[in-house]
Amino acid sequence: MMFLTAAALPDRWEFIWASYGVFLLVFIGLAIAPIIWRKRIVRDLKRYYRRQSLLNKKD
Amino acid sequence: MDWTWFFRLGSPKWFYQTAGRWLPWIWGLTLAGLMTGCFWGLFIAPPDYYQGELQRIMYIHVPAAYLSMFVYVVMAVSGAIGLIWRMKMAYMVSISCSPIGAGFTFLALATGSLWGKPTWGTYWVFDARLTSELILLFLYLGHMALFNATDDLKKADKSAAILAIVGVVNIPIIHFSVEWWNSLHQPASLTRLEKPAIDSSMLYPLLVMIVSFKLFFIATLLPWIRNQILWRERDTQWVRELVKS
Repeated sequence: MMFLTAAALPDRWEFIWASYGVFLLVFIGLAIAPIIWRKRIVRDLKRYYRRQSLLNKKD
Repeated sequence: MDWTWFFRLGSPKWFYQTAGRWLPWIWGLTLAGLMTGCFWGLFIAPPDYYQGELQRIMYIHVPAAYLSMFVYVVMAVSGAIGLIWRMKMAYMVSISCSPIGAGFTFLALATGSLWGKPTWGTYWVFDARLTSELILLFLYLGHMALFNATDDLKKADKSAAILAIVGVVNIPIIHFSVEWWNSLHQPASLTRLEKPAIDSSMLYPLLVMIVSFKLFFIATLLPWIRNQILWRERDTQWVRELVKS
């Protein structure tokens, strides 16, 4: 038991908090990336439909 | 058995609407699971007799590493389904997996590195497990780059699917690397066939986190697929009406 206590690693909470911090950042990144992309797609689609309607009018 | 639901999965419109209905519930379960798992792992689970409090990194690292491989298999299988049965929904699933898989792989590498410094004395070594996991990250990035390299959607789908299938060989290498080569990394604590090597007081929060990470994968995968559907089905009447409304 003495040996185990002596061999135990010191508690480095900064590494634990850093890990959970990285997790939080990745979580937020993965959660908002498709929302941002959707906004871009909707904007591009609106432009696409406008261009199509202009081309149809021209014909 | 009624297989109508299965065949409906191939319909982009049905998938888009059904995924939209399910998403709030999946997100609710994901957030509840992740908050419970994080609290349990950080404050309730006991410290390890040897690693002390540092083992709390396990509740993030192990699910992230597991999901990094799981997502790749989903990506490769759906790519194969797309190639064999020419299902466009399968291609959409495959290409939607790569940004999520890259996120999980990055998380596994970053948390592993933060765990390695106080336990091994270094952030990084070119060890079999760590290197094969890094190759997995490059495979995900390569998959995204290859898909976006051409404007021809059919060509992009096929080439990305082939890369996903070829890269699947890396998955058993990651899994068995700790058995095949001498490694700083410890062997698996959880296996399907044997009794878990960790105590139940640590096992249960770990299982909660693994299930929650899987739910998180579904919760982020569905919006990516819905975005793919919107773009690819842009010439259909229902997408036109949806965008205009």
